[in-house]
Amino acid sequence: MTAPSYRATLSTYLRPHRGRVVVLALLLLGSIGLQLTIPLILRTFIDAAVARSAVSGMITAGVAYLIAGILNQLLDAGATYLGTDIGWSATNRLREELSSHLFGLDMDFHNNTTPGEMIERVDGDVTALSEFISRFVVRLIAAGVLLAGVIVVSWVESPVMGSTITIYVILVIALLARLRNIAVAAAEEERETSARLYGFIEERLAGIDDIRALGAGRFTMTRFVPVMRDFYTRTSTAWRKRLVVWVTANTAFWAGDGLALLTGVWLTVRGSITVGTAFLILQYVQLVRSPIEQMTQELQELQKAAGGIVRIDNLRRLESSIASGNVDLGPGPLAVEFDHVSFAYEDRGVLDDVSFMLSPGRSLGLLGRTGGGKTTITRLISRLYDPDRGTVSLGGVNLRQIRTESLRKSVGVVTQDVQLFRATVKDNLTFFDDRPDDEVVAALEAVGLGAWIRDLGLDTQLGAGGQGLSAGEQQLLAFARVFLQDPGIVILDEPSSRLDPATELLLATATERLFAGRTVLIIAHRLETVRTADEIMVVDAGRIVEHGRRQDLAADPESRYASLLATGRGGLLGDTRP
Amino acid sequence: MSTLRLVWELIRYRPGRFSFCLLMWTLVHGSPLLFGILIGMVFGRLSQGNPVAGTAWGPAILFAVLAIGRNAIIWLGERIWIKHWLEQAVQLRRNLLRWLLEAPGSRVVPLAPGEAVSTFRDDVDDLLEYMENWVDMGGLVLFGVGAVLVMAGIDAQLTGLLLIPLLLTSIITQSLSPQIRRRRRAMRSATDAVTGFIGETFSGVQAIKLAAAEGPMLARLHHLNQARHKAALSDTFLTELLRSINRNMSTIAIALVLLVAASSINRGEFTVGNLAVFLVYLPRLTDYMAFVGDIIAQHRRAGVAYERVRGLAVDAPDLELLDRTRVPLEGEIPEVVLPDIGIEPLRRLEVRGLSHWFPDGGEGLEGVDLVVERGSFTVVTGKIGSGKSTLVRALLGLVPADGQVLWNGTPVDDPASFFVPPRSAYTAQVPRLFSESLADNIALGQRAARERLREAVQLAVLDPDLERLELGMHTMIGARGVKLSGGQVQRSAAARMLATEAELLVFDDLSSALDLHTETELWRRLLSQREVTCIVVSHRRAALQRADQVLLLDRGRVVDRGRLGDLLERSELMRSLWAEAGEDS
Repeated sequence: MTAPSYRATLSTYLRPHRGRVVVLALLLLGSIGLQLTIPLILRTFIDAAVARSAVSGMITAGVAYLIAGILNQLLDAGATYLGTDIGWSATNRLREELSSHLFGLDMDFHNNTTPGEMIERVDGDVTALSEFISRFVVRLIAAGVLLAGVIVVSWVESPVMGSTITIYVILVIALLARLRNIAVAAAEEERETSARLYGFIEERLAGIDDIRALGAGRFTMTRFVPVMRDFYTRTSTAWRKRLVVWVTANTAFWAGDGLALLTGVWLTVRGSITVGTAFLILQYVQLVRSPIEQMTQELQELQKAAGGIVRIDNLRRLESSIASGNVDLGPGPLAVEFDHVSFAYEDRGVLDDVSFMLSPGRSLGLLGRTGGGKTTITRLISRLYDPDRGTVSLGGVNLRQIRTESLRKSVGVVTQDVQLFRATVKDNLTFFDDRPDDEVVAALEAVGLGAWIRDLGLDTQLGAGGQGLSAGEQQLLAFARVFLQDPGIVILDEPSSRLDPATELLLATATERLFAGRTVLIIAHRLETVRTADEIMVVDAGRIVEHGRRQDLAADPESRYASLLATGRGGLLGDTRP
Repeated sequence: MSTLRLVWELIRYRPGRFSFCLLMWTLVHGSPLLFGILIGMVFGRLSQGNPVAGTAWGPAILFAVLAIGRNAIIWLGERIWIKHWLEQAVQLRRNLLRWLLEAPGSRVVPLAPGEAVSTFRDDVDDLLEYMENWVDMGGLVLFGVGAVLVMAGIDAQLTGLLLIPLLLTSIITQSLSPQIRRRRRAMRSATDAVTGFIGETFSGVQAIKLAAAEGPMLARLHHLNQARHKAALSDTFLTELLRSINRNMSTIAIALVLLVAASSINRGEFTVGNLAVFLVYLPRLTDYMAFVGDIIAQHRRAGVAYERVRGLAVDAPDLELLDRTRVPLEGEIPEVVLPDIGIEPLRRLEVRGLSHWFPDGGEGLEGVDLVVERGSFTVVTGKIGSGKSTLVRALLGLVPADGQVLWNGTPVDDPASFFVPPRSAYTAQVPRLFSESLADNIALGQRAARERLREAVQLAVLDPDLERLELGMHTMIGARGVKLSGGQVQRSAAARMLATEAELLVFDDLSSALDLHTETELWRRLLSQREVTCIVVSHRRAALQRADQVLLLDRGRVVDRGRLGDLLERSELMRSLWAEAGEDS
């Protein structure tokens, strides 16, 4: 990370807040000026006291001290507040821009990253940047200016005093800069080990019934011992290292006080300074404590922010390979056509020269072994990926020419895993979009959750990952989402796990309603599901091995579908996902 | 237990060590009393000009030596304190978890695990932080009283005047600091909301893309960001306000000294040395007063923290939670020796009048009677929400219940600690596995179970899954390992139960783990292998057909019981359940 790129980053994110940054700078300068002045006022007072001069002069100094002290506090507090404000404004914008950019990236990217990493990038690195802005700008620069001020005033006062303070400042900064690194590595370890400790506890509390009913309490507590030891050892190591840093810094600071006092005595006895100035030296040495501490501490933050800026930059340079077209699809059911389509994920070939045509409003059941390519076919229709060869078209338009947003709105997908957010039922259905309540309720009615929602209300909070909902209810909510979306094509990836009979019944009814008047593709794990499909397609090893009208295939004893029907559930139906 | 008593119990953990730390920190906090006097001497002598000024060297050198030497005491005191704090932190957490997992009696954790963890972390820390104040207290009192006495000795009237801003500092801090903590917590939860949302967004990014919902999701992020921005500002505002007030009190106090002393200095009644003493003491004294204010606020907080700890372990005696037995932080970890409970083989299990009410008024269980003979297969069935799971959970003592359970005719006092392997084993409807190896998850520390591992795995039809895992039984699962699918989790849990070779097996609904074929196979293998007694919650035909007795539940009551055939003949409810089960086959 070079200085120019720091500057570039700073100016990019601070430009919109230019006015406030200027105010901030003024506040800081004012505060620094006052901090330098206050000890000088005291010096004047003390010298007046030593001389036993007129009371009025001392009173003036006292009043000046009071005003300067209070004003300084106000300026300082104002600067901190404004710095925080600017930092958050700037970085929240960055968080949003970055998220928007990441949404646009391909699934290949998302499949290779964990949500935890994304949190680290979008929040962790950006927060480091915020610290960088609010601290670096506010604290580091201010600390530097204050230090410079102290040194300049000291030199003006007396070269001996000036050189003493200068040497002291340099020595302490050098010492502390060395020390800081000691604590950092340990602090990281400490964070990790405490995450492990609380992770252990959380997991066991979630499984408390399992542990108790299986009499595994004693065993679990034994397993807890190494976790506690690890926590104890590493945390105490980290704390001891931090203690070394703290005590060393503290020793240096108090040694500074001693040094200041001795210098003051020496110079006063020699008659080269006044008693007031001797006190000034002590005050100035104490004044540089906090800027020195800040400088060494912020330098660390700077390192962290530097890493963050680099990582954020790299992310922003990534681009999606899927370019949106500009054709908008109309409403109503659409034809789906695959024309000599081949596709491979990174290295693994999945579809090999697949061609088929599904007329508008027809339904197609996809059967075949797990990993055979069923899911990939549906992913190509949603244009999560582009085919390597051949074309996919909807309603006669090549997917590449369709505007991505229009395409996604026209294709409704119910996946096996229903992604639910920790939010209200309504927000979960609308993805936080603002839709009228009655539309949402109507969608829930359509999937048979009418009574359920009247009981709970649209504002009921759902747990993360749909906690507290049965698998069946989650599926039904996913259906309701598609109802709200009202697409011309529906893709259903049937859940492989089994639901209780009552829910199965609800689902069957909801499915029927959902399919009416749309083009439908179903990835089925059970023959039951495709009993009403118009057409059946059996996919194996990336090729279509059978495709025809369901009745025809069922009637043909040679067909794979017929033999599946005969065996009830054949080996072709995998019940797990890849 | 009062908060003071609580602190006393905590201090008693290692009284010697605590006293040592108390002594060290009293020296550390008290020594500035001496510093003020020394600096006062230095400036008093300097202000008298030569030759008296030359005698200022003595106190100045002494100050430098003491100021540096004091750090050795800090170092020593803090090293011991770190040990003390962390040992106790680990121990309190151990006590709490041990009570929840091992203590007799039924136990329902009243909070979601995530929330309960914050009690383990934050509330225990709050208690210890509060205890830490008591180590500092001696020095604070020594310095506070000493400084006021020294100043009063110089000018009693002035000192009396100064007490006003000093006391104000303490009072204001005391009233503001709980608010600051609240706002800081609000800030933390606003942060959690943002990071949680980002995490969820990117784990569901495919769903968002497919629904073309990027726009509204970003709007939501914007909304959460703003909330966090506001929380951060509100936190900063109050923190800065308090800091300003305290600093200003110190400024006001010093200004008071300057203004009041001006004329007495002029008259020669107040020396520059005296002034130096005030200038050294006052800022420190304001800091200490603010600290005292904070301690008063923390006293209440510690009480609340302990209440929360108690809330998690409602029925635990205080002394159990504050148990002083040390955690073995060094040396060999003692092997788990499971007490060999010589059990009486099950001949007959009897349940009389088992009832359970949910605290929120939801339908529970009312007066259930049940007899299970050795080697029999009992199926509990009914519609969703009819109380099937509650029945088996109440029977096993996992939830508190009224009524009686008899094992071979002898009443069971505490079902929770009685119904464990080798008497019984249980698989929950949503079973939990832990971040350990699969083998450890299944054996759960029972040596005998280790030998039966293979067999159990086969019985639970988990072997095909194992083949797909690279490290087989040694695969680490959970947060840091392989994520198992829902079905795999249930099959592993079934294996875990089967490995216990318990007399009584209680299954709460295996249907989402196993397809029909595998389930049938499981029952066949299990029943042909040895004599087991099963209570099974199920609505599947594979289980119902095998039942020696079927227990039909509706709204928490047994509405009918008997052989499947008879029930089908006389019960409309049974017929409709059977028909629905048919849809599934």
